[in-house]
Amino acid sequence: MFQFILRRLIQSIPVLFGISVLSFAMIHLAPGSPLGVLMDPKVPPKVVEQWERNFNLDKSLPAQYGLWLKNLATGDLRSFKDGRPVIDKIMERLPATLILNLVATIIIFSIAIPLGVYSATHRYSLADHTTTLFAFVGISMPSFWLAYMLILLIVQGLGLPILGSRTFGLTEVGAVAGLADRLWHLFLPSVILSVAGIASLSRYMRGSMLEVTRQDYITTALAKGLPDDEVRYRHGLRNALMPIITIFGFLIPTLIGGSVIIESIFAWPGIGRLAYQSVLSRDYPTIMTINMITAILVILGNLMADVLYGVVDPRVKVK
Amino acid sequence: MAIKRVLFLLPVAVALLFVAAFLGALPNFDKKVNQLVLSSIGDAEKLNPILSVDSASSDINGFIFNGLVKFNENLEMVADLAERWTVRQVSRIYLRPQAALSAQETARRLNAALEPKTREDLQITEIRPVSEREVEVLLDTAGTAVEEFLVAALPKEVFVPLTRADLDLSSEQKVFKGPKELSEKVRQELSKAGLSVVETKVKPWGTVSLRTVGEEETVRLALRPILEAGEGEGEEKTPAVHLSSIESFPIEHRPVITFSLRPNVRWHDGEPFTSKDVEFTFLKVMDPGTNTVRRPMFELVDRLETPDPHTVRVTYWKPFAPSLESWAIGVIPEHLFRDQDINTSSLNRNPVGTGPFKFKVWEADEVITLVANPDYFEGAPNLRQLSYRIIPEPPLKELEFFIEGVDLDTPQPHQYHRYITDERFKVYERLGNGYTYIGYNLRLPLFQDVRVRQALTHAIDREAIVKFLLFDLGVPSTGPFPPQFWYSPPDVKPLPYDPEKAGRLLDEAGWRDTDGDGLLDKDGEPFRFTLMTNNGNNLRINTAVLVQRQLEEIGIDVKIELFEWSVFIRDKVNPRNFEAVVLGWGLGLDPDVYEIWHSSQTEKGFNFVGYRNPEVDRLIEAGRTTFDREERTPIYWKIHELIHEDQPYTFLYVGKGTPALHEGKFRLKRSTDRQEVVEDITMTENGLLYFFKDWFRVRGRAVFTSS
Repeated sequence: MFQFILRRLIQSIPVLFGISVLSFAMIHLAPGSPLGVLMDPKVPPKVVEQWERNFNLDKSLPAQYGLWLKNLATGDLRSFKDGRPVIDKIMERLPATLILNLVATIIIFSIAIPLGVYSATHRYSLADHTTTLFAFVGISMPSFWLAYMLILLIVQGLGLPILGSRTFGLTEVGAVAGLADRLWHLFLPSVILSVAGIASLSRYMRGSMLEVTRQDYITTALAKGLPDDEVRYRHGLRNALMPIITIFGFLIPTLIGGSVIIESIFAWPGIGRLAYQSVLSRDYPTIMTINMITAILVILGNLMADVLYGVVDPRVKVK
Repeated sequence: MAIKRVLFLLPVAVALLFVAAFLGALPNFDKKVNQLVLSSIGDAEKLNPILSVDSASSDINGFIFNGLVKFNENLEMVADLAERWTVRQVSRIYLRPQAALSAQETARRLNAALEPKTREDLQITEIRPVSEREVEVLLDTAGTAVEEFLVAALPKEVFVPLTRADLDLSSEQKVFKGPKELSEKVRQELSKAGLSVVETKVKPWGTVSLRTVGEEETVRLALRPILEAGEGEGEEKTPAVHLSSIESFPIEHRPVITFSLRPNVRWHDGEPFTSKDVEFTFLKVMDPGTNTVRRPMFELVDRLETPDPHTVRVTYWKPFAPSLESWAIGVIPEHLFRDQDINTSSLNRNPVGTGPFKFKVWEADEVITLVANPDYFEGAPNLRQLSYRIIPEPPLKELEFFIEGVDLDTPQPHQYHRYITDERFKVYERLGNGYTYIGYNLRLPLFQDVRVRQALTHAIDREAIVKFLLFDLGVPSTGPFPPQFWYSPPDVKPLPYDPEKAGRLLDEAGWRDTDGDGLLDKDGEPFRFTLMTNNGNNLRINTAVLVQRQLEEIGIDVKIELFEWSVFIRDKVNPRNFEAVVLGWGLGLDPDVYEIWHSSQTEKGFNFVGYRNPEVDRLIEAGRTTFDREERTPIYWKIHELIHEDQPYTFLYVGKGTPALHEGKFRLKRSTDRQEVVEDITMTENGLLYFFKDWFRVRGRAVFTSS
């Protein structure tokens, strides 16, 4: 097992290198420049040229890539925008993104799995049809629209603060109330972030559960006279959950990557917004770093799913 | 069955947790401190007045830092960190090395020759020797009378002409490694020839400027080895040194601004503020390694001296009217920045200034919090705290304003109606300092005829644009200056919307519809052009669409192309690769428009439309070298009129800013001698927030209303 993990990690090094070259080239070849945005009569072009020299933008692309590698190795990658180390910028936004996505994940799993199971066990019932309908609505509904509607409802209808990660100006209310306030602000963004997830995951769960129900061992268990619930939840559910592990692997990068739309709408100070702003302002070091972190997480997520398979399914073994 | 129960109780538990959170948070939503919450759609980048380029940073820097001067509520220049200032002229007389008179003797003779009456007439404050061969004459205003007096008072033989040597390094890096080495080499050559260098100035753009005492020919002879070295190398035979006589007259004038700084000003960390901080700020701006856009404002500074901790003396190369305005730049603390790389310093995230508010905490992409500075030199602010929230979506900013999560909001024109009709809000308005225009690429034959450009303006209904796109929050503009300023002429009327007249003008210029396809044509070519603007600015895009339709009516085919901002500027505007653009200018308060309209700025500068008018050039040059507002007024009126006649742009509109507050939530409290005066907040020419320090939050008011 350890060898397997090690081998996979070593294999991923050339992959990462390839990704870095590709994304570096793509980012730099895209039109626009970090400095092309200054259109101020008091800032003559020579100032922009001086800045380009200070940022090494006048060098050739391979030379710039070399500098990037060097800065990466020495840990001195700095944002063009504010001169701060990129890693600091990411780290200070990480908690917000992590907590939001974690809560959303908890909501997705705690709602989608029971929903899927219930649909499967009550196949073609009214409840099944209703959840099917809602699943399709949930998948096809644009989340920004839903977000706007719910915000309008809560903010304008009820006059309650919802944007940001807490109520502003709220001070001296004590730790418990402060925590409650933060949790309240988590509510809407995490719910909206999980709508599509609930919809799709509950469909997976339903399908997977139905698949398992058709297996011979279920029939055997039922024929033996075991109670329905015992069969479904002890023997059926466990096996039905296995495909979900794959989805969990995919989830890791999204946990960190954040969501541009939801974070922007809710003024949530996360990584998604940082990535989006960096792209708009061509903050190359920041874009590159976020790209690389995402790439690493995708690789790790896949690896984790593979390892977990080995753990939960005795039939899967490392050769 | 345990698994089943857990499975179906889980969603219920999650739901209950949120309900509990809501109930726990609800009673506290209206507990707020005596603060003001502002907001912006983007986070600040650098809280350093030298480096900042984004508006959020500038807003916040304005609360934390002070400049030497500032604009007051009526947009007049007043003192800030400087208690007062004087603008004087310096005339410097250089004496020939072999002249019999010493500098002391010259100064003594001149002082003796100066009768009290003449002294007053010529406004001479002081005549003093500054070195063995130099005499300085300080005067209030420069004039030829002073020169006449000086020449008459002393024999001509004592004066020596000056020569300036500009060493252009940008093309000559192969010959000399750096500006310092080159200027040293020049110095050596000159001293070998017995000439002395009056001063050396290393400019940031790879040039070195030297002033030397001596006739041009003598200097040329002395510098021959260097000149030849420069000419000989490589393909480009650019000389490394350009020589020029400064003036035929031996006396040169330079403006000198002397700032007397306020004593007893302290930085937020308690250290005293001194002239060293001003000097440090200036040096940091001039350092080519500093990533700043402020450098051009200070390029005409010859030298900055700090004779004592509370005096700063700035000498300029030549008179430059906007130079005073440039000292509104926030001063940064030398004692903290001294050993730091300014571009990456952590102080740019933890600023220490002298202003009414101190920096407290910055939560990235969320909120920046400032607290009142009780030791502010103009008295502590009334508000305890100031929060600057980041809310990226404008419609949600509006909602946050409605529930008082934000105290001040500036609606876009399309949101304005909801604000003005809601009696909970008080909406202010003020014309902005900028305008939106269509710029025509005058290099193209299509736009070279002034009649064509006038016709285009006649054919565009700007009243309609203001009415339907700005919802009447603006006025049509007529030229380069917005109408509310002293430098904008009062009697220039916008060209009226008159499609028929447009047709006649085009007809005169040879454009007619000869083939009956509904499009004007000339020499077989239809009248067709592409109008470009940047994506993401809906107002500009809608303007372009409206213009397209209006021009179609007189037989002109307009195609609209949209580009992302940086692509638009970088690949279209800067390489002059466009036909017509919709763009806007935001302007400074000084009327100098050299960068936008002077013909020298057509190749690389911001005169990207390629406008050339020698008369306008002359007026712009005159305007920027004149300090007196009375004298400047007619100059700028004339510039406005000339550009209006030429129509290199179709000037579209000047928009209004409409900041809104909650009715009665904030008021002003000023303490005069013995009493406190409480007033309503009013709009000033310098914006709503000018008297911000005196604002206070009216107490006893329910903060959240659920109606």
